Amino acid sequence: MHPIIGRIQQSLITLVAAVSLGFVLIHQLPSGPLDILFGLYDAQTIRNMDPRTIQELTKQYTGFSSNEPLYIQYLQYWESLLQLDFGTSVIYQEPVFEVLAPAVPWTVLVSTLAMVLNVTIGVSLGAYMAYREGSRFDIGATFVSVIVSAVPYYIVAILLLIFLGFGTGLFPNGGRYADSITPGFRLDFILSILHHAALPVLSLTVTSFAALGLRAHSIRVLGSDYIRVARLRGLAERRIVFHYVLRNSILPFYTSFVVGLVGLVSGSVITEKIFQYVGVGWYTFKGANAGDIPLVLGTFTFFTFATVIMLLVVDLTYSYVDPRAEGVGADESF
Amino acid sequence: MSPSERDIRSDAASSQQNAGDDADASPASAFSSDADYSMTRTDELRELYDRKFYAPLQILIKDYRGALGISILLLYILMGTVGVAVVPIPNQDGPRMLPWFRDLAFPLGTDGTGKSLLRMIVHATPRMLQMMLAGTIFSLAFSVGIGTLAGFKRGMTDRILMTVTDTALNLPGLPLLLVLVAVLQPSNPMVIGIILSINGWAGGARSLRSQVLQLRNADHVEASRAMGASTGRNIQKNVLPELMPLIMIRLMTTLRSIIFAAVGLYFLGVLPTNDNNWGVMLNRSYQAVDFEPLTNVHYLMVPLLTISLFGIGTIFLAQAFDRVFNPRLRAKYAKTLSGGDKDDDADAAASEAMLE
Repeated sequence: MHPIIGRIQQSLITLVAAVSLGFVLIHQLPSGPLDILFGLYDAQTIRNMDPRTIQELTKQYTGFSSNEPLYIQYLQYWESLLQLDFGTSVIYQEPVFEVLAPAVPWTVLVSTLAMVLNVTIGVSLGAYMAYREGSRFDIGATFVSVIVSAVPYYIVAILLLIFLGFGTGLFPNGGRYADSITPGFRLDFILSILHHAALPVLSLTVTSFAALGLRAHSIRVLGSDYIRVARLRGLAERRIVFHYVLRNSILPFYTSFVVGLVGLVSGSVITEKIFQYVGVGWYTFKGANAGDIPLVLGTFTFFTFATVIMLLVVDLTYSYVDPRAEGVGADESF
Repeated sequence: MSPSERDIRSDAASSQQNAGDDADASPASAFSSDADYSMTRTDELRELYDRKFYAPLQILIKDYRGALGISILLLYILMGTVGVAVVPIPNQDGPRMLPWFRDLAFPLGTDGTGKSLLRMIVHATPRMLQMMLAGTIFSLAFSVGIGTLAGFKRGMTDRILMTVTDTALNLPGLPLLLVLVAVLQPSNPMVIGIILSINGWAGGARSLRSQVLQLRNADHVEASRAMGASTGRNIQKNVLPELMPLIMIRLMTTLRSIIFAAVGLYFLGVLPTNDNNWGVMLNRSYQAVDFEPLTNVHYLMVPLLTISLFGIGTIFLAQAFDRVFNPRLRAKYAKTLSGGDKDDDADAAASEAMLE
């Protein structure tokens, strides 16, 4: 079997697993799919309802009719998902897809910005720390990054919000852009977006583990013969760091950077809650808190889809980045 | 003695001993040489203790991060066991919202109802420990079992197990937890711990598998396989000991990720908040803090620091384990501790020299 086909197959399996899990969980509710109606009406109203109305409502909120046999329900569930019908949100009374669609770009924006910063800072810092292993700079930088990465990102987010947001007023306390600016492709609007995204991005960047992982790997690379040869040739330090150590130590991290991005995207649930940033994570939080199962399952499907696509792209491109890789997914890093 | 010789000898020793048991079941055995083997066993155990426990522990304690990590984790364990017996149950007998470090009776201050924050933190610890224990056991059992089996067996077993692992790995962590928690509404700390590690084991399984892939072709493993050792025995005798440091690092990572996820979910308010714990405290304090002007910050800082300190402890210990894992460093310490192999010393000296 061609490795690319195998990889795509794996992605499909993941998607099927996620959707099936959602289906099973709806049936795991105390009274099955009907449970969603209890969030809308009181028990008395439901008891007086016409059974057909109940079926229609369940279909509207979950995407399948609960009076059909189980396998038909499952197929109906898939049918609605493939038509981008993720059911209807209980708290917003709107189709889940329409609630989430406008929120997606914001989450993608914050996660991508955080990832770019993360990679830039993490890679250069990590390689330099490894190169100066045991020096005062290395010990200091290691200590700081250990402390910072030992703290969960939401705690950093809270601290940043308190001290940079409320304390000094340098950054806004929440929201996606200033209310006074009308959205449009203009400089002040873009600046306002970046200003509002700064704290969420910062809190996600600061707590990443990239620098330390890269440092550990670079130390291993530093032991290789070709580094020794490079030194014996009397090459400039900077050339050794950037051309010899960095290039080789960054390769296995290509994968983990994207896995990191996946983590950032799913971590957005808490960050967006703290910064009142209305993205997909915000709706996940809202839905889970209010017991809005269709909304939570919709966001879960979104996150799974995003994760699967990102990981697929990485695996398919990895052999181009590192020609030594035997094939798709042959090289794993921690 | 090289590892391969030692393993061959121990395999040979045990198989001979088994043969002796089978041949002569009566207590008055003519095979008096059994005593020699039991001596060897004791020696082996002592050597095993020395190399696998004493020496790594020394490396851990001599490293400031290891010493700090061990002390921090011990502090939390003591808090959850002895602390609960010593510190009285929190009740609403203090002044409300007393800042920290003002009154010896309430060293960390009080919350909005006059409960001592220190007492609340201490009495929340056992549940937190239970959660971590259950989650970690679940997660480690899965990652070690699946990772070593898949890597060692290869073939169909590998393919099936890795498909399961990759599926779990590709599911987004926090949203998955939110879905599960929203639907299942767990309240038992053990159950919460297991749910929190529902896909955390997959990363460990992957990294352990790639480690096993390298190990399975090592000389001593191949020799053992050639001598007919079963898969289970081979994994247990030759593969698992080599994986120990990696497993210990995983253990630390898992502990941290479970507690972070738990506190995160409590902070979001999606887990039942009727009993007190660090996450619930963080949730309540976040709502109680007035931001403009900044007051009651101590209430927020207490759970925040408690969680962070735990995270720091696990990271330090994991870092120290990384040193135990690092063959270059292990060789350096082995010289003073158990007179390691000369080759290793030379290598270590060479790499040390090269770095200067």
